[in-house]
Amino acid sequence: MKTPLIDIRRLTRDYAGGGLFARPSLTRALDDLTMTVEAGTIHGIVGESGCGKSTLARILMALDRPTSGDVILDGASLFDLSPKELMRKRRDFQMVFQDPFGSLDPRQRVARIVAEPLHVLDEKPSRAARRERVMAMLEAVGLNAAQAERYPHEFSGGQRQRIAIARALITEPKLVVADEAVSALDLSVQAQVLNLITRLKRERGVTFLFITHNLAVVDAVADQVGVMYRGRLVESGPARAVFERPLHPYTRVLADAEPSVTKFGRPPARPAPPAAALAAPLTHGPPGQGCAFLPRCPLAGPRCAAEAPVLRQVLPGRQTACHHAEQMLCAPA
Amino acid sequence: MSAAPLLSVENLDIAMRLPDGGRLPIVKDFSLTLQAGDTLGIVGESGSGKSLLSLAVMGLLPPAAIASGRILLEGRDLMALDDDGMSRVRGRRIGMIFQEPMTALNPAMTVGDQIAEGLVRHEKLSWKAAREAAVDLLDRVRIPDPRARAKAYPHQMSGGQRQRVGIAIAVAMRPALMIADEPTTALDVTVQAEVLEILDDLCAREGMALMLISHDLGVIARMCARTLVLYAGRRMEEGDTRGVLTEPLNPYTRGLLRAVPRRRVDGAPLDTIPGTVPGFARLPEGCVFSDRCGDVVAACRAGEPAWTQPRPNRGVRCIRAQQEMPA
Amino acid sequence: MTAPASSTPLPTARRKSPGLRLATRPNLVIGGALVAFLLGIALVSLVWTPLPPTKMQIALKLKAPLEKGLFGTDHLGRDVASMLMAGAWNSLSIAVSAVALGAAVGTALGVTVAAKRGLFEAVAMRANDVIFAFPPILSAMMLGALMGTGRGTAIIAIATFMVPVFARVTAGAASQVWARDFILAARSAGKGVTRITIEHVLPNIANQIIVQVAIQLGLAILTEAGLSFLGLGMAPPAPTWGRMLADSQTYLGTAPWLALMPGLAIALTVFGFNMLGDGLRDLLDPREKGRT
Repeated sequence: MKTPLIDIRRLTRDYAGGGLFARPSLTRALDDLTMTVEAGTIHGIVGESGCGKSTLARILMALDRPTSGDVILDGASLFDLSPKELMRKRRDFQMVFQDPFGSLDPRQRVARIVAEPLHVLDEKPSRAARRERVMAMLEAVGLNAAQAERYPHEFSGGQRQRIAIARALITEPKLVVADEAVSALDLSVQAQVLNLITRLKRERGVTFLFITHNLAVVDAVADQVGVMYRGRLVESGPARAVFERPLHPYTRVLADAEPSVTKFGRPPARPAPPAAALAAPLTHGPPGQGCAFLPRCPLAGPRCAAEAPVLRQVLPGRQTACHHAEQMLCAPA
Repeated sequence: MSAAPLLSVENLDIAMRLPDGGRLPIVKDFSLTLQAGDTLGIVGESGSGKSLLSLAVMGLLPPAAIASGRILLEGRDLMALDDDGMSRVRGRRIGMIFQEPMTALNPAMTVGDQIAEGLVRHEKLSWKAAREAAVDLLDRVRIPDPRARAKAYPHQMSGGQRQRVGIAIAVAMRPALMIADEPTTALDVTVQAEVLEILDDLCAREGMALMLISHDLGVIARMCARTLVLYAGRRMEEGDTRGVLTEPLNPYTRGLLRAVPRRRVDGAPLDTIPGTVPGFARLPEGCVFSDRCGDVVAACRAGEPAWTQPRPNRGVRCIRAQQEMPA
Repeated sequence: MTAPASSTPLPTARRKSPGLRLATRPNLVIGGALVAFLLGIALVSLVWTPLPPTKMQIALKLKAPLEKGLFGTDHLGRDVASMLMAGAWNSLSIAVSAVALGAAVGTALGVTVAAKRGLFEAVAMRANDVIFAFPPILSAMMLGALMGTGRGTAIIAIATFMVPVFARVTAGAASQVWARDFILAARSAGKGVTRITIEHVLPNIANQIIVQVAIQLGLAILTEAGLSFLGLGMAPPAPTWGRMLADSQTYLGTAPWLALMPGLAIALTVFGFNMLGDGLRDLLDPREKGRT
């Protein structure tokens, strides 16, 4: 078995809330998250706001440190590195952000924006070499050299996201974390950017951690997928298998809730959890006993309240954190 | 039918006044009719002019916009009304739900009072009675423990709950027409599903007509009986939702539907519409979609195709759709 | 429309020509012309004035405007027009130096506060409040006691008063920039706080600083006049608008032009800078229009 590109081990991140006048509180954004990402794949992370997916992205980018746990990127623990080593390591992982209007400095020209990550290289390339790399990269993402001297406001959302992707790829990283990278794009442009990501994976072997709330998008491009709920990974496996037959009720809830051009009118009633459960806010409580999804779960039973399910293998390559996974397996899709 | 339709928009053109004195046309040749209880989805990407359209119906166009044509609500010409008349129509006859409820709510007022405010002003209720009604409305948009939550401020609520408050405010006056502009775009999918269900229930129960503006074809499919597809300020296609989404007549609608991300078994790339939505100042000659259309022929660039109705209740703007339509 | 799309204003499709932008902005034109005129006068006064501004001709004292010189003479027979010209240089040079100093220190403080946050922010901003609470007149008196009155004292006293203003404006603007995603992108590129501040933060808040400079220049002129009026400004015989006003008090009944001329000069200058500031704000960021 080859070693994975990213090995995330028991990652936990707590945020201290409150302040001078508010009651101090602790929110757990990531709760004992363990997962691996193979090199050369697109790995989707699906979850709703507050599930911890953006915290995960920030920690993977070493913009934030975990409360406990470790991230091993390409054999090296990210948080044991000295600042200098971390700086050098940064060429291997880059990020594409959600908002194509906020992630590009409006006062800089495209050429300078795209070249920014070259800052991490030990040997700073010459001006000419820099320019050459920027031009090659712009062409690789479907923009042309003439556009390098323009400012971001002269581009559409889709083009801006291409610029952001070019910036992320300029150091030839092994990993690109894409946090809702296509969510803000129009449908006709979204598919173009998704195709670009698939092509970059195929042609350059770039690994993408593709974070989104949109199942259809993940289904279209991802090889593997992980589903997060309240800071935990509740299901993982090959994307196709997970969406065809979810093994966690939350994955099913997400899939059912997603509107589709083939679902007309009011959706057929599903076994619904108690009304009060629907109202439960999507914030994290303190780590307690029982399953975090319990209040919203149609399958909830007594065991779910007493014992938190751990992530376990149910089928080859398929993991889920649910006591009733076997029941999901037998239920009609 | 002798009664006037609830809403009828006739030959609406909207242009923006430019600082150099010129005019930039945005919406052109737009018409629609909406009967009481109808649900109409308006699909459009950014730059389609769909938000300007809803503002026009609400009489909230920015000062730089010049509109011509007629907008009739229950037979009354809204464009002829003055500000006072229009603000009486807004709220009472037309309700509006915005994309980001946080910006539409007053941060310094409890949500209960914000719902009650309209009832006091328009329905002349006492504050006490209006606050009672607000609690009832919060209950109807399924806010748990409505009596306590009525005393909460917007920032103390989640995005989904704020949008429900937004709906409660819009519904309070029992408007005949509800305009929802991307009402769930900022929400998570499970919250979106709940909000859509609440909106659906309320429209059905109160007999409100719904004009839902969205870029999400799935949301339109879920909510609307009829669909109108907008591109660069022009209606490209209109019809019953199932018909438009399963048998699209306009290449743009076809392209949009094909671009919906889905798993390709063969690993082939996703279908795309080449290029991007052109700015209103840079529209191509002839048909506005001709520069991105796969089915384009020379005639498409010769002149802008007219709006035609190949079948009852079905409209399209495409010369090729006319040619290829089976008789 | 989706949220990001609505942030692209429609008219960007056709860019306005610079000439047109000027013509539609009377604030900028009027303010700019006034300031340019004053600056011109001040510069000319260095090489030429109708008469030497300090030359006394007691025989010709308190002559009315046009009777002797353009604006008459004062109680010592000095030419008022010449004094006004030289005063323009003295006032403007003090105001510009003070604002430059205040803007530099205040901006440095502000961007540091935005970058550091936490305890540093709390301490710096409270210190700011304390300084801000001292009227510049009081600072000038204390400074004057320490180092004597004069040009330097006036500059430092006014600059001290400007620092908190600039610190506050830049800290607010810079904090907003720090919250943007392109800052995260720069951090992902391994850039440190100082580099990010220089490369990303400062260019993005430059507009606000420029506008503030114009507005504060008006205020600085006013403060300088106040200090001179009280005798805390430049030492005599160097003519300043403030002292011309102070000297004119005794003769208000007999020679009102002595008060009127420097008063008008001060008012016009402040008005010019304020108009320029408003105009620049509209020009650089149309969204700011109408805000105070």
